[in-house]
Amino acid sequence: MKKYFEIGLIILFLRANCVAGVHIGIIDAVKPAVKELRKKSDNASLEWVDEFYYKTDGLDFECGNSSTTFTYKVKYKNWLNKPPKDGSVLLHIFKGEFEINGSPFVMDYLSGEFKRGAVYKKSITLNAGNDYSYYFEAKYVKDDGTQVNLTTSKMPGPKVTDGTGNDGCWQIHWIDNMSYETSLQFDKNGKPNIFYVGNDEIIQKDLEYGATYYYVTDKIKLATLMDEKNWSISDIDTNIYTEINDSDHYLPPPFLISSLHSNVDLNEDIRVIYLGMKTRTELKLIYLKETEGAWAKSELASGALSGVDICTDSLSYPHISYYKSGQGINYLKWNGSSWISEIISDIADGMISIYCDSSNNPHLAYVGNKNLKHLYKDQGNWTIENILGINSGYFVSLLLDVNNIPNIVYNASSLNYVKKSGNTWIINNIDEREVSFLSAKLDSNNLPVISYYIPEDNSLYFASYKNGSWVKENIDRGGKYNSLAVTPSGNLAISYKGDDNILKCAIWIK
Amino acid sequence: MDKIGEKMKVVFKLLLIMMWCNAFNVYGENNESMISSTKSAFSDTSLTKKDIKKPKEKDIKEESTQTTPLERGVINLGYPYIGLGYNYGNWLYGIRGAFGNGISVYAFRISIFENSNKKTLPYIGLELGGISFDTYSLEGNGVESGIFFGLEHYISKNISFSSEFYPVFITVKSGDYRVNRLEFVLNFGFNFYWRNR
Repeated sequence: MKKYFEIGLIILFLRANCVAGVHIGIIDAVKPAVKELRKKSDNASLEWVDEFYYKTDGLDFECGNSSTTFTYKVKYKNWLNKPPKDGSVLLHIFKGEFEINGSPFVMDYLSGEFKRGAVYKKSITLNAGNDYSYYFEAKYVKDDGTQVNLTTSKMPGPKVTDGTGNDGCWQIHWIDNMSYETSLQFDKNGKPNIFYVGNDEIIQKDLEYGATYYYVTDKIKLATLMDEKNWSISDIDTNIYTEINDSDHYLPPPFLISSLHSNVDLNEDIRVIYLGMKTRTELKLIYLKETEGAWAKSELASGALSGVDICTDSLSYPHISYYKSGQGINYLKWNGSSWISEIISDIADGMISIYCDSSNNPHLAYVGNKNLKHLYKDQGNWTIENILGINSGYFVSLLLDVNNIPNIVYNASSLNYVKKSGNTWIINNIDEREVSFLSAKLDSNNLPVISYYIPEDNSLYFASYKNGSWVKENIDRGGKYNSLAVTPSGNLAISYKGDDNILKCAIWIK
Repeated sequence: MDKIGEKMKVVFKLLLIMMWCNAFNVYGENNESMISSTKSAFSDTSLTKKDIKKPKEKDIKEESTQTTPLERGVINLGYPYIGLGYNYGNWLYGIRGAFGNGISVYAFRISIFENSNKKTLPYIGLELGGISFDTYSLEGNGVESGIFFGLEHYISKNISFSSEFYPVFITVKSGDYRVNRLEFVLNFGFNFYWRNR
């Protein structure tokens, strides 16, 4: 039996030796596989650059005017670290069906090794037009001399406005990684300032009884647009530790810094308020004010708080509203030397929006006991108006026009708008879909402009009232925590949390 | 150099074939002699009681040592590898490293062979290894695995020459690229045991 086995073994060996080719030693056997791998790797690709702005289309910006510098970037990658053919990385720009004058443009090498992806760049200004498209091209020569043509798909854009104001587009800025809340204000130079909660670090803490605790070092940050594209980012309030996870011990769900609001007064001073965690069950209302370049911080209240908002009056004094469980609606006003506090016994289920009228009287809007309400102070007395009954509602935004007429935007399974006309309220439905995270302002024509988030398609929308009807526009993916700001000259911007947890700002370009 | 290398390989292969064939012959002879000696032992009916010698105490001792499993270490040197092994009874466990041309292979091996005092022993085993390489402008890694069939020929009591043949499944990877291949390998080398068998 053994004899036959050995004969079989030898036959197998001889056969393998003659037919398949036998390698002496394992190294010799690995070589053909590595050679085949090299042959397989002898290829190149063009990919999007993994940077803010360029991640999805290689273009920054997708919208601008004839003075905007549009930058195109593409990544050439070859695993064998072989460069593309000299001068072969090209940018083709089309207007309509035809390539524009000078196209294709030779792109310049910017950085990186070919193996990991070398970035090529081209910056250009374009004439007005909304029918631009582009694609990238490169040539690669294989080991055997074969030339390979690499191209990306043809992408639409950018939209270039003529600057007359007849047309416009949203220019999307990618700013920073963020976690929660954004609040946007234009400063005196007309530049957007965004307050937001950013987290830089996750801290892991092992507890004595074996559980693991995670904390995020949340910070209140400020991003300011410095020039056409660059944002300066600074920390406003640091070392705010927030518990984010302790699945082992069924502790309260992660509570985060919320209800971040900012306001600019007539002296261009920006005030910021937010709710932060004081203890595991208690929140604190923090007020930040910039004084001579430094941010002064004070704690105004604590307890089971919600729905904070801030406005400033004609004396630049701040007015703050919030809801405290067990107490009711709280109202705080700075009188120049101290805070004056008042409590109105009513329930607010969600956000409270506050606005000061021209007589420096506060007006508040909120949803309480399934009613949309308007609460205001006149000649020292508080009045509550029940506007209408609603089944649900959380986000409310109150605006007073130049005649102190209240306009309220709210969500109640859809996006709605009410305006007082005489003694009656006129109701408008803006968007029938379920809405959350809304922000509203009045434009220079006293008409409301609204940014809002639609969870159904995870998108940020903008609604404005034009020629007797609501015009809705999809701006970008994501859009939670959106905040809208308008300048008297008609500049519009929206800050929001983008799809990839990135703080973004959409600026309207005329 | 390549041509010389190729010629060397052919010579090695021929030598190994000869060795394998020799192994076959050796077994043939051994078996025949074994069979003939057994035959003579049973067919010879002319033995008397006095012819049957009482075994000496020394012989009994030697027989008893045969029953305890052999336990010893081994160093393997071959083309192009170096290995360390541990032989317990008819099992051999080893680690092996092979290097050359910017390729390194580190493998764990386990094999079983006939536990006898014969000069040439067949064995069978399993090899699992990791590959790393930096050659042909490529860096990467991979794995290899195979079942090997081998013969070990003792030159002395603690030195042997072995050759083995095995199909090996190789996977190499670099970046986003991957290649799988089946190859046939012939190994040969010397084994130096710590202790005599």
